[in-house]
Amino acid sequence: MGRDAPSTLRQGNFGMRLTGFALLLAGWALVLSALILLKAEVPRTVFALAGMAVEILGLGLAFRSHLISRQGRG
Amino acid sequence: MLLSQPLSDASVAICILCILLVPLALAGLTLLNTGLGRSRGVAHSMLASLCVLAIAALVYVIFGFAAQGFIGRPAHTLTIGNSTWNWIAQEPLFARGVRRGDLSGSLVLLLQIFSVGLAALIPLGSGLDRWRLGAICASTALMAGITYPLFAHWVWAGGWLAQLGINYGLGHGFVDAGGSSSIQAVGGLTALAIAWILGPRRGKYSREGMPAAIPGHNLAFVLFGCMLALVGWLGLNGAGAILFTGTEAGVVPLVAINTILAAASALLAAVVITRLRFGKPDASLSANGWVGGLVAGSAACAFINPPLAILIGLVAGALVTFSVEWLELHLTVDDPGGAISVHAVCGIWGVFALGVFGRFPSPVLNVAAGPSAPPLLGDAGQWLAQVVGIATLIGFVLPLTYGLNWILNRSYPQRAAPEGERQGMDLSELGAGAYPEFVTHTDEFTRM
Repeated sequence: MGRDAPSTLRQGNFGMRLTGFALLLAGWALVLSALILLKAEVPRTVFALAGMAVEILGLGLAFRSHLISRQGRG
Repeated sequence: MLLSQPLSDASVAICILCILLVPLALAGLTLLNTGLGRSRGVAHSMLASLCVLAIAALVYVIFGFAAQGFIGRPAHTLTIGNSTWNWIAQEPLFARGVRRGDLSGSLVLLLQIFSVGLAALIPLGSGLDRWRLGAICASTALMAGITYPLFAHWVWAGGWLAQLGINYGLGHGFVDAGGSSSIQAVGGLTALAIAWILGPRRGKYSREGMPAAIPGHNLAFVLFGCMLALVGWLGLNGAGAILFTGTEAGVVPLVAINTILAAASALLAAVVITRLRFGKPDASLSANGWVGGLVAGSAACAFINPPLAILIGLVAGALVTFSVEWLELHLTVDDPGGAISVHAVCGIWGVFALGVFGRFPSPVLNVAAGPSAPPLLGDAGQWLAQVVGIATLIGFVLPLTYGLNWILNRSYPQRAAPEGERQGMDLSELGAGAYPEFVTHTDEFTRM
């Protein structure tokens, strides 16, 4: 981390952050898979939206892993 | 207009005029960012903006354009099933693929030099008052050389996102006339990565967890920046619509009308919402609403009617006001310039809105379609093409830009030292402030 970044960023939950970004990539891969593997409109749409849902979950985890705790504030 | 048809004289003239207006968007964004920062970081912010433009232009022309290219030019492809996916351009370095007299290529290159500068200016808003100049330059080089050209190739140079219509029957493929995704959302998501990596400014959050209000030092800068940005955006959307979607010159006035209406309605939405919530209109949030409207209206500016531009702007204005508060209060993201809400959130909204509201009276010039290529399909599935683009922004561009900046931060810390942050970025990084007479006045008042 950067020189004198808030302590919580140094102590931040690295595992959660990594999982969040992995889910972002996994969601994107799901969307691409939907395009390649499925021809029918409805299953393709549902599969792609499921990929978006995984991305939103990953985004939530990424935000959560960057939340600063009370000790780090001020 | 099909690829085989050259630009008409009217289109060329309007396009050149529009491109020459785009630097005003850069000036407007610079003033906005600087005004929303502290007075002790003004010179740093302005110099950083100039450095960003300089580095973005150089790195993009040397490396970036080789990866982006433009429509109809050679590219690396990947065959998956029966479909050919165009991943990255195959251009020589130093933009040597643009020959003297190649009008379309020259116009695309010129517009893209300004566009990459605009995208690279956006993260300055989220890193205000704590982002070191050297790190800003290095981060800009990463964006201009890697992140921006890659995504812009997919959208504007016949890449796989633009091919979604031909390959998978998703409308006209991913469409973005003015850069809501490739300029604004890419810049906004990089701003989020920078805000995460830098952490909040000192004193932003109390021990009880409440964010302190650190108002911008000069709202005149901010509001004048909005006016400059409007002129620049008129040029950006007009030129983008002609060069990247094949819009005829006669449609450019409609593009301009939609651009103004989106900004106007977003501003008024922000004014009304802040008036209702806080008792008085908030000038900085309203200014952010104005730019949010410009951002959201860019993607669809050539494919909607004025009432829909107003609707897109209204939603953008509301999104800005609520997401700025949500990010600061609940997600503890310190974004002094509102760059994430304005450029990432509104950019993504603009891209989605095109999928829902856009109507395409003629084929869109976004794929390398030769004379024997199949005709482009109708509008069905357009929204899904836009969703795939949004999924790519969130699922690929955000991890990519975060990863690049995280690696940079490991080797060259991006955040200023605590003493430097206390002094202000002007004194600590440049050795002199932008307003030296302010100190003299303070001393005079102290002696009285």
